[in-house]
Amino acid sequence: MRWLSTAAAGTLVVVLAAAPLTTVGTAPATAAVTTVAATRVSGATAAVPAVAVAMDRPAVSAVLGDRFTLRSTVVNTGAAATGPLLAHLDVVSLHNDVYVDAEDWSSDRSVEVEPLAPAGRGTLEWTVRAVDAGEFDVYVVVLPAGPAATLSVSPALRLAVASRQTLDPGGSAVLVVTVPVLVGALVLGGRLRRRRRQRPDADPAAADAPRR
Amino acid sequence: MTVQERDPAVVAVRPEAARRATPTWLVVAGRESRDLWVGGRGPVLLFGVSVLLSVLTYLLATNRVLNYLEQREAVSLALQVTVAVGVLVTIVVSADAISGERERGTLETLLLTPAPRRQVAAGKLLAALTLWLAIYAVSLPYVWVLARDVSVLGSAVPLGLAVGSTLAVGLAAVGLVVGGLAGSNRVSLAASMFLLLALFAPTQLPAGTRQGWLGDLLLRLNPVASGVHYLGAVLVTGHRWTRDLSYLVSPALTAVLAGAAVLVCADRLLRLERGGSVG
Repeated sequence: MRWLSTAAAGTLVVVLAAAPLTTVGTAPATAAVTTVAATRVSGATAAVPAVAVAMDRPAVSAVLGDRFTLRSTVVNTGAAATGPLLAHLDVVSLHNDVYVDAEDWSSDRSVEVEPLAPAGRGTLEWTVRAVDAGEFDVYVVVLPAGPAATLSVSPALRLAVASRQTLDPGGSAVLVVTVPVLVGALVLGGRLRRRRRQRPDADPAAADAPRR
Repeated sequence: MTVQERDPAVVAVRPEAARRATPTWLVVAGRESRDLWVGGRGPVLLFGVSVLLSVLTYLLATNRVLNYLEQREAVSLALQVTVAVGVLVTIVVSADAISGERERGTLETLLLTPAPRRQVAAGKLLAALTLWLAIYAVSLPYVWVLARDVSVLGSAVPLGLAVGSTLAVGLAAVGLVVGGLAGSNRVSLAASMFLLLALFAPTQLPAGTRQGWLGDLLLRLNPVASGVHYLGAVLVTGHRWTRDLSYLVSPALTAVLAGAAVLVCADRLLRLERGGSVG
């Protein structure tokens, strides 16, 4: 957040560019609109991205619960060295009915990148866990520190997550019913037995005593 | 313990040999346990815990959102809930063991016996721990179901028992101290519950807040948080059980210090009225 406040002190471009960070994990439409706005304004100011970001593959197929590692490469395509950069990973769902909380997918989504010399490159690793089934786009955006620079966004990586059951619900259903029933039966049995003992007519000797 | 069982006459007529054979703390522990389990709250609490664990296990196995959890995490979560609930009921029962009996008027008969206070306190502590052991035994089938397809069952069962028992000893002793010092049973139970919730609250904080030396220090100082962290480190992260043993210093210290406090201050804790002195 310290970095964001620094960026917010810059131009309108940076203010708009920072907006996706505050809307991380919301509906894809929001992110898309914000990105378009940032591109339009950055085009108006004729700022050329000095950094290019690429993903190591175009698509990933996973099963619910899988962990996998993505790599993205940040290259300084400009003629001058960059300042400090911040790379940020985002996940958006391609279907409206699947909610994405990006923090669940990756715990460390913001990484600082050391300044890059001209043509210099850095590789970033992202550990992602597929926490929901569906189709998603994963992308990395690099936010520069300088006021005149623009955002650089990687191509989207298409992530297809297949659903699965990690546990056997049928087997667990037997257990989750059996154990409380057994414990409950023991409780009730103990109480009934104690109540019988406390009844004066429960003891045959006591019951026979008056007759004698 | 019932009034009849604490009748000093009963103790007086007991054969000397039998008294020598059975230590007082064991006699007290046996009778307190009987009171807890025969006609007491023990079975009902156990039933409640089994229902809770059933709901949790069913959700872990069937709920779509929770189902993505790796089985190691599911095992760890089930153990953490077992430890949390087991320790909670243990501290409540131990807090009630002194202040509750004081209010019900059954403490006086116990104090009239020649049993040393230290041994009475030790017996009460042991009786409270039977509840933890029973809860842990009930949790084993659930842990087995969650861990049967992964290789953590062999480590989850002894680790859960060791960490949970250490925490249970420490917090049961704290419960006895609170119960002995509290002015009423209500204050005793409220203070114990508050203490336990305060100790558990940090375990629910996001992982990021525990970073840095201060976060790590607070984690290590909190016996509950550090015990739960140790379980997660071994079961989920896959660390060797010896690697993070330093996290168990706090639970072990709590058990030793609070247990020693109970034994040393037994005379002060076991009295009829807070601030008074009987026997």
